[in-house]
Amino acid sequence: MISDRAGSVTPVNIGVGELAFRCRALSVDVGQPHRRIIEGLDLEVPSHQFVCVLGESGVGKTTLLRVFGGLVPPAPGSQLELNGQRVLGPPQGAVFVFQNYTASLLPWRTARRNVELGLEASVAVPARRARALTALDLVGLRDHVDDYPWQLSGGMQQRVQIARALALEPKLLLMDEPFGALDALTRENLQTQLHKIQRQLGATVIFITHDIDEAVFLADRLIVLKGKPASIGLDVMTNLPAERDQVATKELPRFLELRHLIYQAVRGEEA
Amino acid sequence: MSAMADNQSRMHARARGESAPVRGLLPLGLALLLWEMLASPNSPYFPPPLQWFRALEALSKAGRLWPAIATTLTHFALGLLINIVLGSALGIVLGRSQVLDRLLGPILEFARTMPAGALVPVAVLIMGYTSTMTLAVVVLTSFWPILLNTRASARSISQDRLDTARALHLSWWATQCKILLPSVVPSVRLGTQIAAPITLIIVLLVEMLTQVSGVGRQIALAQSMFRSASVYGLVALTGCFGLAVNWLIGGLGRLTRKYDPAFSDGVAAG
Amino acid sequence: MNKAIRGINLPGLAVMALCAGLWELYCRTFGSGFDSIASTYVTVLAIKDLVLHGPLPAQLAHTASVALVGWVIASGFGFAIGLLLGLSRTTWIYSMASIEVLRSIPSISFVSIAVLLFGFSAMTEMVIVVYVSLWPMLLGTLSGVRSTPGRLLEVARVFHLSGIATFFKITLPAALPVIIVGLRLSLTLSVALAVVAEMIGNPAGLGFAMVSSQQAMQPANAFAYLLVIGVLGWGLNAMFAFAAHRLDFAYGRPS
Repeated sequence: MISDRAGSVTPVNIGVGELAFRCRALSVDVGQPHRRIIEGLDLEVPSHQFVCVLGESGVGKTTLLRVFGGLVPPAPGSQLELNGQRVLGPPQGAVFVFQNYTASLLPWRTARRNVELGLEASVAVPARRARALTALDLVGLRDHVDDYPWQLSGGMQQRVQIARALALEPKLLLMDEPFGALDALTRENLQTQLHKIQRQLGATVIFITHDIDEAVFLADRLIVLKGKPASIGLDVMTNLPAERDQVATKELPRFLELRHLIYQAVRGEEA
Repeated sequence: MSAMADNQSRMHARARGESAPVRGLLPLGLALLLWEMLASPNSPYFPPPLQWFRALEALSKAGRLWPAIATTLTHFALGLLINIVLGSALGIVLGRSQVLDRLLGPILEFARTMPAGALVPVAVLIMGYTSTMTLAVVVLTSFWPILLNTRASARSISQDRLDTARALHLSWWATQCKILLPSVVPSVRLGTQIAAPITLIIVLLVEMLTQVSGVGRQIALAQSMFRSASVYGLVALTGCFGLAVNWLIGGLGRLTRKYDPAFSDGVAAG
Repeated sequence: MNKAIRGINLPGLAVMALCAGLWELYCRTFGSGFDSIASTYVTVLAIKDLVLHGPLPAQLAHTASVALVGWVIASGFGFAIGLLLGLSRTTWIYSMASIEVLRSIPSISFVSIAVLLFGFSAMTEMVIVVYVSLWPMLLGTLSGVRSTPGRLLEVARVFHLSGIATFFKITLPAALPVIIVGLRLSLTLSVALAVVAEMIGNPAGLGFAMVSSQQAMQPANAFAYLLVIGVLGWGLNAMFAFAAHRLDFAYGRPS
């Protein structure tokens, strides 16, 4: 049972075998001199769940995700585990997808070769090409596998990055506002695509965004970060139908209710 | 496994705009010290550093050092000034006029790739051993960075900016002064920063080849008379010029910072 | 190759021909009194003469080969040292300041030191070319390797690339454009310094021939050599640009 009251946090009942990701007492310090921006965060994410994390600009969403992704070390005393293993650097089985797609693709490699980059450390040569092509097919770029990034639109470049992540068949996908730099139409297309892919592959996703509509549309579970230092201000299951549609889903009463809830939580107004 | 990548990542996080730590002078300092200790003062090929000072001192006393320095620095300053004026003017003209750019293209390309020293003998034939000749060679060989950078910048001034001038009914002259010129200042500065060391080198080169005046002449003279201590001393002196030019370049950057909205400090953060 | 042909600038070449014609005109009229200049026609004749009956081909071969060999050696050294400084933080900390001081010394000054140490010989010429051309390659490699975009290095971490894999798949390709610029600058310097070295330190090749002509008051020959040197410089530059052209496509700047 989940409480929807803004400000209260109720952990989801999780079967032990199903736990994908968890952190306890997670704190993060940044800058010189150290400033604590995240304090004592507890989070457990079961497998196959799509979690969206929201919050105001600057609250620390991206930093938090980077800590989850092993790119930034947390403060001492924090516990961080993926599939039961402590996270000390970028963990096996997790892939980070960056907001700036142009900067994270290798400009001198074609789309296919960019996707293969992720496979080069762990997959033998014969299998790489096939997996890369499968991943690119999944995101709808079958006709552009030999194009260079500069030949692709922003939306297509981001899809290449997502394909690169998916090619590894990751247990956990960490996405940092991946659609933030795209226009509205492209964004909606990619949201729909991502949702389908996630249901198809059963991946666990932690997705950061500042766009409330996007978050409610995509998520199984919504988390709002609040405060200085930040902690979880709201943690709620969307309980929306598994099939999502850009028009129909957004007209559901539950959708509007969640939207209202999140808006208030982010803005800090009383319910 | 990923440790080195981590290491690199941390290293590059600091690489941007980082200045070399003073500890780095250790090898140089050590080398000079060893040289001083191990070489005999009369060594014909490798006189120790102290001898360099003595040689420079002697030159100074003989009244040959300071006039030479004055000549070289004057040539440098004048040369750089002409470079800036000519380079930016020509750069703007070529940048704004596609026709002229196309017409003058091959000639300028040929002139630009001409190996620097080769101009000197012909210049001497045409103009004799004069300061004009020196300046002509210096300018023709070292103003290219300024020209090319200014041309690129003038070519790509955003149409919005030019439309703003028209919308405000600015006269042609006002447009040039208030819109065009400030827009190209960053690239003129960048070109100058690249061209300044080259200007110094060419000045010394011409002086060495023509042996009329200046520090270059003194170096060539000392070398021909096998006064190795003087040679090393004068080379070290030119090194000081070089450092002064570097300092000048840095100062130039700070002075014109307000003109570059698009420039950020250091390399793009990716 | 088709693109190169399509790109030939006929009006520009016409302007060049015009200038040659104007120079010819000047020499025959106002300049006819000066015996220290040579008209276009006379220069061309001199070139023909030097090529067919004279030492020009051998001199050209000498200068070109010294420049190219010196360039290759200098590039190799520059690349290696640049890599060392760029990849090893310890080395960088304990030697960068010295390098900065050394590189501030105008490279031309070392010509005299080279002549002092090695006399008038081919060795002098090679030493000068290598020492001076080394710098652009060194600095270019250093700069390129040190400024790998941070985001790409994070990508390497995310995908668990080993240190070596990161170097060859990310650092080096990312640095390639800057290194290519360094290579080009090195080549330019190699040619220029080969000529200068021949004027001061090694009595051989085009540079020496040119200075000799000037001192012997043979303007036709001097102008002839100037033209040949110019073509050499331009030609090597053009060849390099053509070879490096292919890279533009992969890095996102189609022409």
